[in-house]
Amino acid sequence: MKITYHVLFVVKLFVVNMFMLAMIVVSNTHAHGLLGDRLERVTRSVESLPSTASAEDKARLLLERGRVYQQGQDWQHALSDYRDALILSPLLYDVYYWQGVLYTEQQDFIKAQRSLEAYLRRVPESPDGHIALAELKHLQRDYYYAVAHYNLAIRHDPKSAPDTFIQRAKSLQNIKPVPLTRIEWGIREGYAVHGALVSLVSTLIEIKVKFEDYQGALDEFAYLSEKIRVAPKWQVQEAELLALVGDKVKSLERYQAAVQSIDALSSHRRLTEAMTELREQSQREIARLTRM
Amino acid sequence: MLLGVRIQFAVILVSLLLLAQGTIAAVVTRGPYLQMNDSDAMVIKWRTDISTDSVVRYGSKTSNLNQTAKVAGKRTNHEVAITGLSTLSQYYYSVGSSRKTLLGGDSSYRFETSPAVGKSSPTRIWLIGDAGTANADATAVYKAYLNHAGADNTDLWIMLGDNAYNHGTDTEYQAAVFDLYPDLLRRTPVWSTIGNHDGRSADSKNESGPYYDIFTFPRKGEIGGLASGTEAYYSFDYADIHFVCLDSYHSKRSAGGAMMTWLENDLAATDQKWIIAFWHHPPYTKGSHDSDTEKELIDMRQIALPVLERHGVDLVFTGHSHSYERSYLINGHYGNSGTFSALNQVDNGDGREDGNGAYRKLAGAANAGAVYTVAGSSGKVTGHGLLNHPAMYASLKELGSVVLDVNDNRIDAKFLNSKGTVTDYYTVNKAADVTAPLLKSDIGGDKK
Repeated sequence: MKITYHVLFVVKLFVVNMFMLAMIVVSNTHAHGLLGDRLERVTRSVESLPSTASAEDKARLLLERGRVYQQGQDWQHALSDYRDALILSPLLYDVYYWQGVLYTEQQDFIKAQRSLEAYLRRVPESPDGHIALAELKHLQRDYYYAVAHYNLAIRHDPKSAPDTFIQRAKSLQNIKPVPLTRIEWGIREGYAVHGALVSLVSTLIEIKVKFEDYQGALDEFAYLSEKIRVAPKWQVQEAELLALVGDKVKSLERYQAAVQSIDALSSHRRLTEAMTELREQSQREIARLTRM
Repeated sequence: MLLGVRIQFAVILVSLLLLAQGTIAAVVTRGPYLQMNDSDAMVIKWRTDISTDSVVRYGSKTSNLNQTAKVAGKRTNHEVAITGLSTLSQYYYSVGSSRKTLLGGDSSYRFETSPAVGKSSPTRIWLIGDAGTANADATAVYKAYLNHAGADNTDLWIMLGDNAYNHGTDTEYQAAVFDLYPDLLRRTPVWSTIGNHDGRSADSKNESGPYYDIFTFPRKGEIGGLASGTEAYYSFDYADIHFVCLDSYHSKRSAGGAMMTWLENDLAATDQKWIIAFWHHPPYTKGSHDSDTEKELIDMRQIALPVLERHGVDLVFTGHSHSYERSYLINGHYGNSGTFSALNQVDNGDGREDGNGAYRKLAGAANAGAVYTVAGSSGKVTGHGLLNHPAMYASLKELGSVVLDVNDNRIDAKFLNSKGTVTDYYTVNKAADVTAPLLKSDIGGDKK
């Protein structure tokens, strides 16, 4: 009787433990972004498609589900849905694009290239396709081809986002010898589309500084709006560059102007971490330059 | 048979003639709605069933709409910018063509221009997230707000994305936005960030698709802030508040990318008292999404938050998870939820004056903290998330919206559920500015 009781207790303990283990596994599965709800929804849609539904409709749903899997980093299921989608509807070219993006995320560069090139063979004027391939080429350190695909993306979408111009410049600066003129021309192409956005100007300044063209970097300040130039961040950056080109007097003036600009801010902004750091940096540089 | 064809032809011919003479009036099928409010300008948009030119008649009294703003040429999607208006002034308006007023002219068609930038002014803001269900739940949330005190004088309305399910198509926008909120749309300027569902039909890279056709946002820094070059992310000023809208879906979120570079510089150039940021994917959530595992959410937390906090952001609003989650006053938490600790809590109280006390952002305190809110339950509540993110003071699976009242050094925030009950609230107080008066000559020019 007593032995039976113990056996039952052990069995019960085992069952409880197994149940808890199962719960942990389940919760971990769900912990991956709780994508379950969306998967369930799209799976229901896949399953409830009438038998008369076209292969393309089914393929589109598989593509949608594949993207949900991809978002949850469930690569195998995503790829499986993409494969099935292509079998059902070989003309659903978007599948190649998402396959390429997935392989890029997985860092399986060979397959990524194959998929993206397959996509671009079918949709050769897709800016998205060229950008995805350019990003892949950049990751592969094949900067020449990265630039070529950024160029094509911009050609097919003359109003390309500022980021496309910036990423192209970042690829260009890895080509040896560094084509600074091409970088400058490329960013200015962005100016022509969007105006001298701070994101574009600061990218060019950063690249010029990296290649020690300090005067060139200073020249870019002329493109910035007055509102940006009087911001302490840019006053400090200009002061740094003036020091680098050896203009100690102007550099000192700019650092002093930065301190005054920061002091003139409301306390809500003046005492933020960003402004506190800028002020301390300026004061250090003022002291150093004064000693020189 | 031949007679039938002739009759049909005659009917078409007569219709065309009537149309040419303007006898058949166009009908407004969408709007009007307000965009790009500024201290001296407003943009009014609407849609008609047939093409007409675009005319807004406006004035300071409903009985005297004595001024007009027009755009020549015929179209069905109308956008008229009115400029040269007086600051913080109420106007009434109607929309139509040069031939005819089609809609408006009564007191419900009105707008108020913004206060002067940098000046405190009592401001009411309504925020909704993931509201695009076009169903009874979304309607209940809207009605609850309309019945809430102060709704009649809403200054700004912010949509946190996923405004129209399931794909953000034009038809879905008609049902989920224009047919659902007609009263508020005609009198309150609306701002938005793109959600993943809006993003299915729109493309931020080239600003195309229904989302970008429907909304007009500042890409050149027209309403304060720095030019971003895109309507996908932008900033604007209203009174003493600097609003920052980010795109957490389509635009590149990498440090050094266009959006984050713009963000850093935009924040470095503002001297507004309050900074309120909003985007779709939440940096902290354990609702229908998990900020520990999803890329967009992790990116925004790891890349955008340090920039925002270094520049003293006060409030951050997002959606995506279909719940309401509101943090303590926190700072410096960029890791997974498991790494959140008491060190990240600037104030671990409830933020309530009748509780542990309002959150206080001291003048001069660097990293003084921000409150992060997920407000994605304005159209539905879904998901099996445990709603247990440790950064959150309140986590509710309730339909509702967020109501903000900004008044000088104080912000009162409420979560208003679909039954009209306030189920969470807090206050943030900011110490008064302690800037010493400076002479212009001391700083070499005007204070920014």
